[in-house]
Amino acid sequence: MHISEGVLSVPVLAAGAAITVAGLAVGIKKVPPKELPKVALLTAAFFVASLVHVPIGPSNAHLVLNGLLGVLLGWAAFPAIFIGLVLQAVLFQFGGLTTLGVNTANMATPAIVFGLIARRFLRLERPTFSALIAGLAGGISVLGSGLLVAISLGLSGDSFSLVSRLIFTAHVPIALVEAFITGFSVRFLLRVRPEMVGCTTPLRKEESAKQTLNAALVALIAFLMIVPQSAQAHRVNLFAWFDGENIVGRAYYSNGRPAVEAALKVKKEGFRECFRLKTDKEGRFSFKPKGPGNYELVLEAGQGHIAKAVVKIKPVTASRSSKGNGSAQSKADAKAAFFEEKEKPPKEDSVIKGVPGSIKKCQDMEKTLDRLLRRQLEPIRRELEALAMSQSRVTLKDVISGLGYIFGIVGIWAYLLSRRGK
Amino acid sequence: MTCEHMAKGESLLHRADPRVKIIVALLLSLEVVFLSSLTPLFLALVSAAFMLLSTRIDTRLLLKRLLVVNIFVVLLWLIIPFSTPGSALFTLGPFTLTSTGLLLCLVITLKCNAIVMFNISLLSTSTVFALAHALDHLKVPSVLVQLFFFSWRYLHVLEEEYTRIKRAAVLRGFRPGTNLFTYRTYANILGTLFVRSYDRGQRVYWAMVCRGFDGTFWLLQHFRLRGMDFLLMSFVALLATSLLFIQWRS
Repeated sequence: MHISEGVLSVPVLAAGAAITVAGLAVGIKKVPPKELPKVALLTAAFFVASLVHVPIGPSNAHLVLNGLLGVLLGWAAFPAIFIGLVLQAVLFQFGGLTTLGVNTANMATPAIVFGLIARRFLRLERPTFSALIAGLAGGISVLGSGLLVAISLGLSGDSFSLVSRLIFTAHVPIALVEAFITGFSVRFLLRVRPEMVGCTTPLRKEESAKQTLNAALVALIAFLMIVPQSAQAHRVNLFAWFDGENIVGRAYYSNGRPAVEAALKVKKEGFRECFRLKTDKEGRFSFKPKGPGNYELVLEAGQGHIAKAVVKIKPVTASRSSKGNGSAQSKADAKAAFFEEKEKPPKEDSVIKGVPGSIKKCQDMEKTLDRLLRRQLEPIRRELEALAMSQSRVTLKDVISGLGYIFGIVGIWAYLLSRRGK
Repeated sequence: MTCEHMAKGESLLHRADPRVKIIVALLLSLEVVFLSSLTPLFLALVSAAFMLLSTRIDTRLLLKRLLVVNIFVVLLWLIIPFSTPGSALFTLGPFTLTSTGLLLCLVITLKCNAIVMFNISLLSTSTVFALAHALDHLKVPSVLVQLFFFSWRYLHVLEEEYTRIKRAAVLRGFRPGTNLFTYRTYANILGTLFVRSYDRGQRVYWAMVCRGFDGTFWLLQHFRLRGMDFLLMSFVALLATSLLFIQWRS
């Protein structure tokens, strides 16, 4: 939940602080003097609630309840979470001043987004549905915080990729429990004190339909804000082949940017990791393999971006140089997994048949030919690379068609709603 | 709830002006975040420990708090040396220990402990009452200061409230386990707590209005810089510049 002091890099800390200052500026405006004691009391109540340990299987976890806070307080949740963290820092020495910004931003942002969305769906006359929505918001808020914590760690350095993944995984069971507790709590509040969750009187039908549409619009905007970023950042492609001497390749993100200085781990089948290297400024790499076999390449481009490729290198048969044709192909018959058909090196005619000279001479000639061919094939390979890249890139067309789907589905939904209202 | 234990004491840092302490704590924490080599970090840790010891807070309490802070750091020590690319020190099965990873862990541990020690010795040695007043004197938005002060004021009340509700549930035979019933019960307990705090907030507001509350936070405590505050400021200025100098040299 909390990131300790001294772990995150300065830019991440600064970004978190900036978000928190902006959120606080908005949040403070939403707390008039009349509401102040109530918000303060609820902040204290949440502080107490976050000390409650709830059993999960053999272990137990303390509650976060940021989703419920978002549902109950809306924008005022930002200052509330901030104050909670300040109190923790001063009273329990848990965390300190420099991480206050990042931790507040990580916990409060999903709470407010999903809390405000969920609040629009809460209805006095539909307690079960409302509890379901609130529970969903509670669970997603915790998952969202976990994701933000993982991202802040991931952005601070490549070394944290494993830690950030572990931390996100640890959030999953907590999110489940939070979902139940938030849902049941909202159900309880709807029965006992509905004005606390913004439901005073039952709404008329057309009003309720209008509100549902509004909520759908907010959800859509939130979704649109999240999706393009994840689509851009999320894929990294690895592209590798054996060129006769070295295993060479290239790594790039789905937006065409090369994966610069990404860590590449190479494993030979049945062995431990045998190489560790980094891609250069164009995302390229090359190394000399240790004999034939299957090489598994794993690229880690930070922030949990991982791509894999397998390169096969067949063993050189003893008869190759004397026999020519058939077997000569075998050495160069190495390729990246998805490059199979396009990249078969046309080696058949490259070996002179039946020359009785020494095997050594034959091998020399073959090496020269290999080199020549590599040089000639290089432009074609580049071209194919560019083609593969353009295919895996997320284009504007994809985004627009995705939008079309969303509008279509929302349209059908709105149509059904309007029919039901009549 | 164990709160404000550390604020009791008669040491120099306990008596220093909380305004100065807040600014100094912020300055030192930020500076430590920017440090990256080992020598200045060690110096920062040693001076933080010195300040901490000068407060003469119960050592067992201090160790307990530092232990909690270091749990996350231990987690990092278990993972990061193996997940950082770099020159391998030795290989153990599928794990490769790298020197870069070890160095990173050491830096994080030093930074984390130095910052936390600065915070304990500077912030936790003031009462929340004094801190709230100091924040208001430092022109922090009044709403935040009041939220901070009120939340702290009612923290203990609500904690007692929670204990009472929980005790009532336990008396009726409630045993927590991993099941929906437990979660629903906890949700109802928390819901009751929220309803009661909401109502109490309403009553507190009415009571405050009766006494003329208009959103202003009236200051009851005023501070004056004294000799030891200047001493603290000069000590911190010396420390900050020397840390920067060593960092710049290396």
